[in-house]
Amino acid sequence: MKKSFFTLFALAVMALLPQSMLAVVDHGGPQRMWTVPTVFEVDKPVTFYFDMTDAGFKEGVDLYLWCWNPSEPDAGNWENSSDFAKLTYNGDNVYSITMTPTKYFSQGASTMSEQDVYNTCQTDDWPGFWARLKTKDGAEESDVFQAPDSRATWKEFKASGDAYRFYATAFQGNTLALTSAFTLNKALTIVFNPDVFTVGGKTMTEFAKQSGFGGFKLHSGLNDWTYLQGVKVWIDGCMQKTDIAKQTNGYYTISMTSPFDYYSWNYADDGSRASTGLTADEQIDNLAWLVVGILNNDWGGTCPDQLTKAGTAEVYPDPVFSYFPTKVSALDILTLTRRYNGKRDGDLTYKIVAGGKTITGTMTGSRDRRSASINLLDELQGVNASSMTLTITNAAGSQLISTEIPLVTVDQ
Amino acid sequence: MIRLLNMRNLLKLCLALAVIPLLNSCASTDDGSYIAPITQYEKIGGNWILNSVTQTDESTTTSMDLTNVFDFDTFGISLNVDENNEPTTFAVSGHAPALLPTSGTWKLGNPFVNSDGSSAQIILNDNVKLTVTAVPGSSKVLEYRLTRTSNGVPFVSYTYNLTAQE
Repeated sequence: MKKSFFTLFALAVMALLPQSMLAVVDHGGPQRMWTVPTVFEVDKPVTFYFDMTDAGFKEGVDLYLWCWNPSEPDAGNWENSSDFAKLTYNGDNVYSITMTPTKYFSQGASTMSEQDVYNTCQTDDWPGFWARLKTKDGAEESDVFQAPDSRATWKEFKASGDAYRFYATAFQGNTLALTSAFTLNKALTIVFNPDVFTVGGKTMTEFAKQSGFGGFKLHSGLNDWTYLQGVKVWIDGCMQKTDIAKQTNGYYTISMTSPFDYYSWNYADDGSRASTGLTADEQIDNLAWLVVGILNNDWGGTCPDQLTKAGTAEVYPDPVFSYFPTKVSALDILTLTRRYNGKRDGDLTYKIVAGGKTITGTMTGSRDRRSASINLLDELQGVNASSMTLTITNAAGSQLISTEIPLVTVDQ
Repeated sequence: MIRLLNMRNLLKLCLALAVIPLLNSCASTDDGSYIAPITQYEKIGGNWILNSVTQTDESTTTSMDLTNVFDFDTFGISLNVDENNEPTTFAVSGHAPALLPTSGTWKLGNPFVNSDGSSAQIILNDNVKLTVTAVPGSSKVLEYRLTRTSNGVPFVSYTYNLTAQE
């Protein structure tokens, strides 16, 4: 009787628990994370990017941010994430969310004010943006991770005493490691110290005190001004695009999602957008640039011409398929390997046909290397064949490999 | 009469005692030449469990570790010997792919170390030859290689590294 009571009680408790709490599917965390701007203040808009390749979520599934630091704005909504937490899917397993952190973390269930959020995010004690990505209903979740913030970068820049620095997205392994060696297709932020950088013979701080001051603009062009975005004071859009904005901490910055995004078009004299002819695979060597100080809606002074060398773009290798050993008999272990897979390939499926026998299976691993071993000794027992036909398809069913593998006759 | 018999027995006993040292003196000194020579069977016989198994492409000499696929890590082999250290039967345990026969008889190509320095061979069921690549010594590790050939040319081999089962 007692036993029955406890069984009923346990069942009742389980029935009351949300379904999602009973069986949350755990996935991996983001493979890579970065932000645009690469260096940001938390009271300005920033886009966080999460590359979920190999994490385990179905490609393109709707994902939501579940962040609990500096506050937990979506607290209580695990089974039904709020729309403000929804990420944008950008393709290739990359998700993003654009927010102004001071606003994001002072909404919903948060009790913090925007100023509280700003102040908290300046301190060394703040642990950072700790979060997961999850499905709306909470049935699937990523591992926990700390999204990037810029405290260390601002400190480093301040300590350097440099007049300016380029901070471009780059990775060491999969860890974000900003570099001055910018590349065509990665985000770039240029940071200026207004007390050191000079425009028209004055520090930016002094220049900005002049009457009629209308801001600082970037006049620049890739490859020795070839792909130019000039400062055209009569075009409002151009003045916005080239603006070097003052941050709350006093530094000035200009950011671009990528130099390609910024320099592949420019404002023509009539205010229309014109293509510069820059292509996404262009070899870039440098950025020629200068800062223009605007006075009375015209060029009021510039810094000397600058030239910053570009880095070498990270190139992901082409796919490579191999099987091991290179000569194989029907009595051997065969291993299929495909390296450097497409970002959306997912797990690969192999199909081997030999003498009327069909063997299928999955090549698992990460994007860099997916493989499967096949025990031909068992699989081809009793099969008489001199070769096997192998086909490999990706998760979407596209055929990637079709080849014939000879079967060696073993000496008795 | 009784006394005479007893005397006679006593005399026999004395003679017997006197002969014993003579018999003893017939034995040679213990210089080892009469102890059966140590064979490789003493080292290789026994129960062995898998440390690792490596597949080698003999065409490219590249290798791949198979230890953690297809239950290779459950592989064990007993190379049994009799009380005279003569080989008898062998038996494979575990669920690893049956690249080798799983039971039968075994022997060594040569019970002694090959005088030409070549590797010892374990022969299973008189037809499967395994090249011994590490002979157990102080480390109690036995390693042998199964090589497959086609038209006499090796194309793949499997190297089993084993440790003595306590």
